[in-house]
Amino acid sequence: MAFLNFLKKKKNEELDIPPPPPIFDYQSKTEFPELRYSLPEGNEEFPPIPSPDAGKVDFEEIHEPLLFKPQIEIPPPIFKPAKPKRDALIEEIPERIKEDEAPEVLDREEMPIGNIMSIKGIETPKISKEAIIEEKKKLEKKYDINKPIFVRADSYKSILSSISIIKSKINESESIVTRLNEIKNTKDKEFEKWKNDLEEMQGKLIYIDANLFER
Amino acid sequence: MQENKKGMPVFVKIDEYKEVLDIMRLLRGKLDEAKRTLLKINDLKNNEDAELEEWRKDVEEIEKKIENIDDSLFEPEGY
Repeated sequence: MAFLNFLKKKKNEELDIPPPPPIFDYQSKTEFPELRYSLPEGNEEFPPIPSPDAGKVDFEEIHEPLLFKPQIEIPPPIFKPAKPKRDALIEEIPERIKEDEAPEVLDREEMPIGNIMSIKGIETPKISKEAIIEEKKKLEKKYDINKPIFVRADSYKSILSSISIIKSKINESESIVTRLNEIKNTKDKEFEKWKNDLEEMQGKLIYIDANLFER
Repeated sequence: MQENKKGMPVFVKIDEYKEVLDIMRLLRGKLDEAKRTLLKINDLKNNEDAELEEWRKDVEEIEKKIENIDDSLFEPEGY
């Protein structure tokens, strides 16, 4: 189509190079201009601060012929109460906490047994020695422990079976812990290997980076 | 209920009843401790899973980038 020829680019015809942009004068543009204005002389002082009662309007004085006295009162400006002085605060603190009010400190023997084997960060319930003694006394009241105690034979059988189940479960748990430990060791090895690989990769990347961008 | 030939219930004497009670209490405490430890390990595992997932995504992204670099280096334009 001949009429669309004007859209085609003519061969060997080069466009004119556009003129270069004007050079930006950084020094003159970044500096602030000099201040041309100054305060008028004689007005250097601030106006006086109005008193707190300044907000109140006495309608009686202004509008005497009013039929009713409006109950509007503009509240005075709110002022923050002054902070109490440090000496006054110190006086309020009692000189010494009474011994009866002080918290009871447990002896080493009263510390919970579970804490010995506990894992860091996991709290174990604290059972004081007194609580144990109290419970023992309750039991002694309920059942005379000093006398021979008998348990029904069927209950005894069920207890024995439960103990054997507990034993097997504990053994199973031990084997689970062993397996978990093995898994953890394998995982540690894999992580170590991955760490080494990462370091190697990092070295190679640095080498490539240096080759590609330092030309 | 276990009974003897005459139909009377049979009892078994427990010698160290006090000690048994103490041990039971200790066992209960240990069991509670084990439960808490399990919860803690479960939390750690969840954290570990989250970290592994993030790591997997990073590895995938690295793989894509390496493929891009590979394509650019071995199929250069105008060669």
